[in-house]
Amino acid sequence: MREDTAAIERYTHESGAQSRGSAASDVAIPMTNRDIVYVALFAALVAVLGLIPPIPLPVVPVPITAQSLGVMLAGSVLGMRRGGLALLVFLVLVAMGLPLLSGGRGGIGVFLGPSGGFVLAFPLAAAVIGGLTQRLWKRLNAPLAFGINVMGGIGVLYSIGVPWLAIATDLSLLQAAQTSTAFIPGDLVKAAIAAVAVVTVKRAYPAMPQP
Amino acid sequence: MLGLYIPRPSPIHRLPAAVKLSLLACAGVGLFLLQSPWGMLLALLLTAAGIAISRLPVGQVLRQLRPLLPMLVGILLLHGWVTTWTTGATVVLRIVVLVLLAALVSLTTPMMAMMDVVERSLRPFERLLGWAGLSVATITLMLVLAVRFIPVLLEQLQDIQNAQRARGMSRPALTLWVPLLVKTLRLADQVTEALDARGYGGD
Repeated sequence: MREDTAAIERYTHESGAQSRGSAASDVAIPMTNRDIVYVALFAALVAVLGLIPPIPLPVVPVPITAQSLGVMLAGSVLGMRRGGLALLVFLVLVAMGLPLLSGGRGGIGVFLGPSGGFVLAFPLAAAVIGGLTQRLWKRLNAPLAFGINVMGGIGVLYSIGVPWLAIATDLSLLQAAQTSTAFIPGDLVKAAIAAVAVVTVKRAYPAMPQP
Repeated sequence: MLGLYIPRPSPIHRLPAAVKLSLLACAGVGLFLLQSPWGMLLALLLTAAGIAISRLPVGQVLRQLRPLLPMLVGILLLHGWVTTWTTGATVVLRIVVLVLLAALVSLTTPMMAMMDVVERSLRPFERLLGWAGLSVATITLMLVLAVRFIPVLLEQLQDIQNAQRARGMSRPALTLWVPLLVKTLRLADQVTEALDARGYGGD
């Protein structure tokens, strides 16, 4: 708790200095308290989703983990900047040694392992999903959200994860891609679930701020 | 929220976090330049020596490898089939050494020390961060808040799962995600109010 108070006080002091007109942020819109909390809570959400054990599904060859679903949720609910930041915060927490990755993995080791690329791609995937969702917010429906999740959650993730895997395991790009295809059906299911969830929340919780 | 850190009186524990992380980075690069399985074995021996010096419980260190075992076996077999067993062995050994070294760093470094390294490495970029609407204090607050609320969200997740189990649904179903999202958003509103009410943050 002491770290919390110290961090909050330091933040207050520095933001106070900003609003009194010192050097820093005069280009981008500074983060509001709400933004900060959203980023932190969704980082925590992705962490919590890593604690759910993998679920075997009948249609899918590999048990699916809930964590990359969190990436899609964070992206589509928070938008590009906050979604990307939330996943960055998550990655920093993992790097610092918290066992937050699916399977209780944590520490820098997860980035150095074969699937490190997939994990490192989380922030970019969330940012892409967020950016597209913001762009298409007015017309957002489940199929559109599904398409966005596939592009960001699968497209971006695999285009970074597969080459990383190839390098780490000394396989060719094609071989690495082939071994990764087993996960795609599960990821498609996740993209669908996330799409439906976000669209449902958008309709049922109109107070939900636009990402 | 407990990290991986296991306190022990060892020279490795006493090394500054930044030093350990830099050494790890060098090792990472170096291991990728190394091609022979014998070199890898040597690296593995050195790593084992490091683990011994750290006085960490060996079981805990090896536990970091456990999630990787199926994949490592698969990689070895794949290489045995497609390229050579030697390449497979080199690759597998390299991954093992890297993961063990990283585990050595994580298990000997408290979370707060890591947080300090993050803060110190961000300080030179304060200006750049400012352009993105961020600051070092903001990022630190995000990190601290996230850790703080992991147990809270975990509890809410378990509440939802229990409620579903009471209704007869055994696995996380579609109806898990909407309540989870709504609860998270409501919690976010509450925490934001709390921060605002205490006058934290600039306006």
